[in-house]
Amino acid sequence: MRVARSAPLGLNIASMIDVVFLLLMYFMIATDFSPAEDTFRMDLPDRLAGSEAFSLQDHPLEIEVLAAGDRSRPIFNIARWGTPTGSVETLVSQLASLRGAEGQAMFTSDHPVDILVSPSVAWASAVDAFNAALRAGFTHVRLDDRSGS
Amino acid sequence: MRSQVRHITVPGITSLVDVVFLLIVFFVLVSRVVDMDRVRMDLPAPHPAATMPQPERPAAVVNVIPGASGRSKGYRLDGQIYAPDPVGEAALQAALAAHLRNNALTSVAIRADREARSGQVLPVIEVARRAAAAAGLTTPVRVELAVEATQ
Repeated sequence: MRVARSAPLGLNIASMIDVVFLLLMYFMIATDFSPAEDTFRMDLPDRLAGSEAFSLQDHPLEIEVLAAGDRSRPIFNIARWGTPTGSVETLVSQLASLRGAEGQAMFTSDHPVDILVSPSVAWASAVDAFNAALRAGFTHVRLDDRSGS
Repeated sequence: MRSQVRHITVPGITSLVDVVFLLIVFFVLVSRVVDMDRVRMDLPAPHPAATMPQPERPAAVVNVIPGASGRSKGYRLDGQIYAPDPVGEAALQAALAAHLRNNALTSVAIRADREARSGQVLPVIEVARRAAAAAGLTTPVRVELAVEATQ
């Protein structure tokens, strides 16, 4: 009787490396290394449309973002209502005290807030002021340049 | 009589896997081209942020391309680059208006580097406003300011 000799089973290392590299490439491409994004939503003021004859519009609360020596460290100022500050946290507390508790508030949460930004200020500072107004509880916040053009 | 020898062709499984993975890589690459309208930049990262997650509805994404010392190299919308000057802004306005005319629900997402000068970003808001008026929208267009998500 003849004994059948089985051939030794061996992995083809070259093909395996091929597949492993392809897998590596796939996962590298499929992985999104960029940080995730969130958004601030803002309705644009309807500046181009004519206002109604008898509409009584609230004068918006204005937050100025002014350039100081360092572009990334601006001065925040609530026009007519606050004292200039370089701190975002102070701006939040000033705005929160203006909004106050429901029923006793100087400004209601739906009072329009305009953020007037100096052109030379870093965009991050403009966004900080926007965020501060939202954190203080205001819901109608808009960004504009200081000239209001 | 001589019998015919039948050759059975067995496909090489390794080559098959190779080709399948190449196809997958190709389709992943092609699908990522769609997201190429987001230029790589350092978005503002306010903390703690009162932001909302990105909405599902489509947005016309305007990138303010970062340049040296806070100056912008231009605006990018749908792969097209517009110069940061009145001529470029007018062209951007026309392109945005066409976008809004085709889909009135579209919002305008603005992506700008945290170090960009606000004076180069704020004109985009004005452009969006004028584009909405040119598109004849009855409701004000919504602008979304992109920031880095808080982890």
